[in-house]
Amino acid sequence: MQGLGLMFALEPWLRRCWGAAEGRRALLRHDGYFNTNPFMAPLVVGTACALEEAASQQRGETREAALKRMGALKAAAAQSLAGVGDALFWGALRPLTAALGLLALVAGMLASGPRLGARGMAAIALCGFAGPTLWWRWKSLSLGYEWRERLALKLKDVPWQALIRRARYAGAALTAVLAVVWLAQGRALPGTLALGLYLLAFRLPAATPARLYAATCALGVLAAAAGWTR
Amino acid sequence: MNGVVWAAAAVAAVAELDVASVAQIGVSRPMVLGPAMGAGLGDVSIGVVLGVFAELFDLAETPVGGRLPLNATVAVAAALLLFLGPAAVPVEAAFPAGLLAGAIHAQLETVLRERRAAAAARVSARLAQDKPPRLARELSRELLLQAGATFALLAGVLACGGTLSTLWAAAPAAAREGLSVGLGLAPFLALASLAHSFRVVS
Repeated sequence: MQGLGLMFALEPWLRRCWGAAEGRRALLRHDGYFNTNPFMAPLVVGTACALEEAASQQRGETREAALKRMGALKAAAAQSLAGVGDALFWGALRPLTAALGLLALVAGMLASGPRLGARGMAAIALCGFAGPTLWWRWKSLSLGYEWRERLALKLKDVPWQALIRRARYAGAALTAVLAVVWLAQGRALPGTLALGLYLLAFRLPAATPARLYAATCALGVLAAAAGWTR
Repeated sequence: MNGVVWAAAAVAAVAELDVASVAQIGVSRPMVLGPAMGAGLGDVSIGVVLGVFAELFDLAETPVGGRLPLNATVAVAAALLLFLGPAAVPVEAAFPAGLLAGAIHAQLETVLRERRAAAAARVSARLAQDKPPRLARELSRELLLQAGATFALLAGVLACGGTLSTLWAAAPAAAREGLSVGLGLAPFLALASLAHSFRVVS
């Protein structure tokens, strides 16, 4: 559905640049497969807007060449931004805000009780993700418009991998803190053993939390049937 | 069934659109929706617990490259509707049932996404005939269908609640104990999933 979404986003701008009838023909250029990370899509949209505007002010072969370059740039940008966006937003920011949310839950529960903890966790998980992503979506739309054909060069200057690494290290550190706090509440040794076994289990091919949960339940049933759980 | 339960199912169905269809600002996150639904249905604590479990389970599976993992939003909503709804299914059964509902939703969404190719084809045809593409109408229709499908699934979950309660009561003690073991170890699995998510390369 990203293709439809892209056309929906561009339609008013194309109508403004080309007029109603020509704008519909311009929309046909953006009809077809389009897929990228949703938080990086505004960069591509901004660039497309700028290049469509520029092309509308050109004539003949110059215009055709500009539109052809725009199509190629759009496709290449979408593909490369998808990987960066997925690693940054899904692979780093989302789990980082989850870890922060858990910390807020623990802090809230210790300070006041479950209600404050729940509110803190939900607020952090929501605002911690929505804030940066909404800011970036707005900012990147104007950056894409400003950078135009220099998009690829400009993207090289952004330290994506460093940002991703820092977010993941911060998240891993928070997770370690959460693990220590959690394990200190109850039976540390069995808890550490369980945590360690699950971490090892994730190395198995096709291991997912749902499958590991199902396997745990199945082992639990067998253990109960054998009388080991009483 | 009381109105609050249906309203909660409707809220979850609309919030589910935030997962991949529109906005994606995070209202669909189980850590957000879980406590909210729990508060609405009368038990914030269980909303927090199941929300955290579903969220952390989901972190190990990133929605990239068109892959559709189990829908954690639907999973937590279904589990809470079963536990806090009229069937009052024990949480040991409600949580895995919720996970199953999330897996079913992923299959449903695959079908819906294939259907969207027809919507894109309609838009292309209209543009080729130099007619207005009616993008807002097509997008609205697809979003309505997605939300409707999610609501229908959650309604089905509510309808099956009574049967699940009966099955639980009739199940052998070993089965009930086994599911209790699963739920008891879920915090460690969730924590391991969170730790693992910082190692996953997307």
